[in-house]
Amino acid sequence: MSSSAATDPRADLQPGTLDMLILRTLTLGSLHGYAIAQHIGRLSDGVLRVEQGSLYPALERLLNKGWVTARWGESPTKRQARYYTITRSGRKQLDEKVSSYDRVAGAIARVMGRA
Amino acid sequence: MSLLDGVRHRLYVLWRGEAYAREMERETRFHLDLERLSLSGTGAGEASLELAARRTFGNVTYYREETRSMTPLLWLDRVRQDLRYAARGLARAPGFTATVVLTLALGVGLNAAVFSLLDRVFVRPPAGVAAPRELRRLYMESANTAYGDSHIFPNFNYPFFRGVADAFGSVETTAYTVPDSVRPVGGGPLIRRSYVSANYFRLLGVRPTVGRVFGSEEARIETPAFVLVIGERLWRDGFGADPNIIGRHVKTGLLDFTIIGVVPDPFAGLEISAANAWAPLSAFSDGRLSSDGPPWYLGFGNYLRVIARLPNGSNEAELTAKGTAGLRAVQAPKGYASPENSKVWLGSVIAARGPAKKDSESSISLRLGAVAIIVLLIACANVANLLSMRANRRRREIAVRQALGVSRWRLYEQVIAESLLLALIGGAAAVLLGGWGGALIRNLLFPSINWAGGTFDARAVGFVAGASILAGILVGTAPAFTGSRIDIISSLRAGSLEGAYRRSTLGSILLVTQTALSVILLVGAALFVRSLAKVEGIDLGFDTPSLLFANVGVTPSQRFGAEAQPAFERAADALRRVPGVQATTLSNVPPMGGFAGTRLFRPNGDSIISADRDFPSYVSVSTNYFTTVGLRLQQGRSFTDADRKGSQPVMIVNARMAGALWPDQPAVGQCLILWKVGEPCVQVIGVVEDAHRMKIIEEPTKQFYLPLTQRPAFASPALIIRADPRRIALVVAEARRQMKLAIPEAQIIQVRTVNELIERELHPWRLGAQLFTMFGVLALVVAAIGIYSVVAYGVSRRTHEMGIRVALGARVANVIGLVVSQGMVIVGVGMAIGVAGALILGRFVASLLYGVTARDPVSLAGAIAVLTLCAVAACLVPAWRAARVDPVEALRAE
Repeated sequence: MSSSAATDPRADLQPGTLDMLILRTLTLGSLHGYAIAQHIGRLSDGVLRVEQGSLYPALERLLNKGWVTARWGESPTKRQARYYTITRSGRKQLDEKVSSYDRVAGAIARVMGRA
Repeated sequence: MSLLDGVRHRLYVLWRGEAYAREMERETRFHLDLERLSLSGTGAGEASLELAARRTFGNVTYYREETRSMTPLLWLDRVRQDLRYAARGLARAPGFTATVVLTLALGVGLNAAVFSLLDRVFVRPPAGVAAPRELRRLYMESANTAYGDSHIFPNFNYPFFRGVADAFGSVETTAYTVPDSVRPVGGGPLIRRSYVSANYFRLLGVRPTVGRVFGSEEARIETPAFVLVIGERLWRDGFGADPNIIGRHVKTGLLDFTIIGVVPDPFAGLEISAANAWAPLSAFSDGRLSSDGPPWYLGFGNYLRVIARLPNGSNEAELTAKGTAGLRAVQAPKGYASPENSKVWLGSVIAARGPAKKDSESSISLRLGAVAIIVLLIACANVANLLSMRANRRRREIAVRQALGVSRWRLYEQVIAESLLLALIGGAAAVLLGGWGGALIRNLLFPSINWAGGTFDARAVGFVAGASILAGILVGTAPAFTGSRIDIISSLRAGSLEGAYRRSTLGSILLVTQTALSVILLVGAALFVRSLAKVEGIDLGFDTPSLLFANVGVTPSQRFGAEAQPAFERAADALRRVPGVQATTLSNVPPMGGFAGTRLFRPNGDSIISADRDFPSYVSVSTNYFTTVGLRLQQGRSFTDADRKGSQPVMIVNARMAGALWPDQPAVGQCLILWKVGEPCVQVIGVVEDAHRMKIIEEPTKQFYLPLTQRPAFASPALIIRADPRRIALVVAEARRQMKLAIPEAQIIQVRTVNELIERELHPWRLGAQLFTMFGVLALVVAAIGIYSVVAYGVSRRTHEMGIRVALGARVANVIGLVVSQGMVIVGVGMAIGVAGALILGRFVASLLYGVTARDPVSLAGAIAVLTLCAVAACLVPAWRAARVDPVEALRAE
């Protein structure tokens, strides 16, 4: 039971959470999709492994909302890649999400007696 | 602006969907390539590398679809999806679909047909006329109406028209006659000709496409100008669009008209009955045969309809006052009785809207509209019921879909999509039905109107579309309301395959509504049918089914009159030998065809003409008239051959006249002076029973009869034939032949049955009875379907319960009684409401009834009986099914 999140490659990730992770990642700078996926995977140490493909519908959603923009640019390997950049309203959104996440996470931690 | 970023992105995707799809593909490829690169250190082969990369990525197609589903066009896809889903669902239930579509098509189609009728009669101004808003129709109110019900009418005689027209001053008026129908001598197209003032076309703003219209050349009423302007359609269809049409001759009767111009479609005059040719008013004649008396334009024949064009900002009240003054000024010197009561009215150019008492056909149109709306309501209630039962039956399916995460709004959308789809199919069927039904209503039920323009126009189609969409939404909301508010858990848990049974309150309400509306329509039908029966049962005095008559139509230049009588007598003698002919006689007017009037004095010189409607009128007849037409002599003797010109003048009075003039003494032996004091006194030799003069519905009037020998017909006499009703057709043909032989110079020979004369008056009653019966039966059928489906649905829900009842020993009669009584309770409530409604609404049709009141108990009882029978029958079918439930099967079905 307790290990299912780590072993199941389709670990349950709410769409909102993925959005938050993407936005957080993009605060580092403009990145293409593969780099975003790598970054999320690396930071979460594999715990939050998601199917990489699910990134793209999430990015499309963020594009529609105007929280990120995308343009084609040249990658270090001289190939054309699509680079995503966080916008100002994207940053604002991230701040709100982070603070509400903090509140919920803090509450859970307190209930679990770990605070 | 980041908000704009989102919008820009959506627009881009919307605009360049194809290119964006390629971009996404490139992006995915880039991703997979990088992943493959990162895995390449493991030494696996190319193919397995690609596989591994794809495994990490996930289902490429799935994610692309998910991305694509976010494009702004999604709603269109969703609508398509909803409609496809609805179509599949409907195809799976063909019986249900057919019932709903048919019900809607009947309801909506009928509405469209009636709407196009009402539109034509009440809404649309005459076509092809410039600025119709400025036009007003003139009406005349007069206290001096000898007969007829209306005191305000749209007809003027020429002197009165001139009086009003002159008083109007700068506001121009024009006059025209209602179109008559003639065929040119030697065959040719049917010409519907209206005689019009010379300024008619100019005032209406109708310009000729070929030739000219009337002008000052035709303006003098005293100088007949036999010229003709024809409509474009007549020019095309009747004259093959002849480019040399100007100058062509059209001979009607003895008159030779020369065509001088063609006016464009769609102009067809100002009446509902279309005109296709116009002649100057100076060419008009009132069909008089002798040259005695003043010309028609100095007389009192009300042949003219009058239209005025009011410039913007005209003061209508002031104009009305001016016109009234002008009218009275003309009436007073002519000895017209009480001109101070005369008045001019202005009304809409649309004849049916005028201030005059509405004629019976337009008042029927209005009620028709109300009835059509009731039928639409019944249809909607029925369809809503069917849909809501369908939604109930699908509770489990809906619960499953909801459990699978389909949102409530989405379910709602799908229910509405289904109703809209049904409504659209129904609407399409309604367009067909409406086009057909409209033509049917017009041609079958209003044959006397020659409709200008098509039968089913764009506005009616728009109305159908609007009505079907509205009906769809109305009908969709009811089941969506119950359908989408489903408790998932209880529906799924209920165990029974079909979910828990709950009696549908909404269904009951709809059923009550339907029943109530049906009762109203059935009561209406019964009232009209009974009125028709009463009207048909009126004793006119004459044996109308056996009577026909022949006369000749002649034109002014033909001199006919007393000298025509021998020719008619020859024809009468010849016809008497024809098989099927029982008797023949002559009179100056045919039975129910009119009367003549004269002044009357008592022997002491007292005038007995009265100003009220019951003024004495006379008919000149030959000796065997009374036996031929079926009038019984009550006292005295009939005319004989001894009553000749020059012998003692004699007359026969009817019972009413005898009773009114000589209440205390026998009428036979009295004498009266005709025409003027000083003439010889005419002796009363007999009293005959009362007969109707012109109309089926008329008060008894004072009438007297004179021998044709002493009082010849003013115009051509009528040859009256009494024939075996079964051989009428043969006798009609033979009469025509004999008339032609006896009077070879006659241009027009008319042979008609007396029933044809009165049919015109019977028509509105027949129309009302037919329409209400048609709609009543329609409503009954729809309501019966409704009752059946509600009860059947209830029974199917309660199979389990019925099984238990049967298992516990309930007998067939018990179960049937239970089901029928439960159905009939709902129907009973509906009937009670319907009866109340019928009593309240009755006063709106009261003016169209005869011999029955709007609260006629027989009609009410009849409607209730018929509906009860139908409702019991509709309940019995499912009740029988319930009673035959096999308890073992029913209980095992769990």
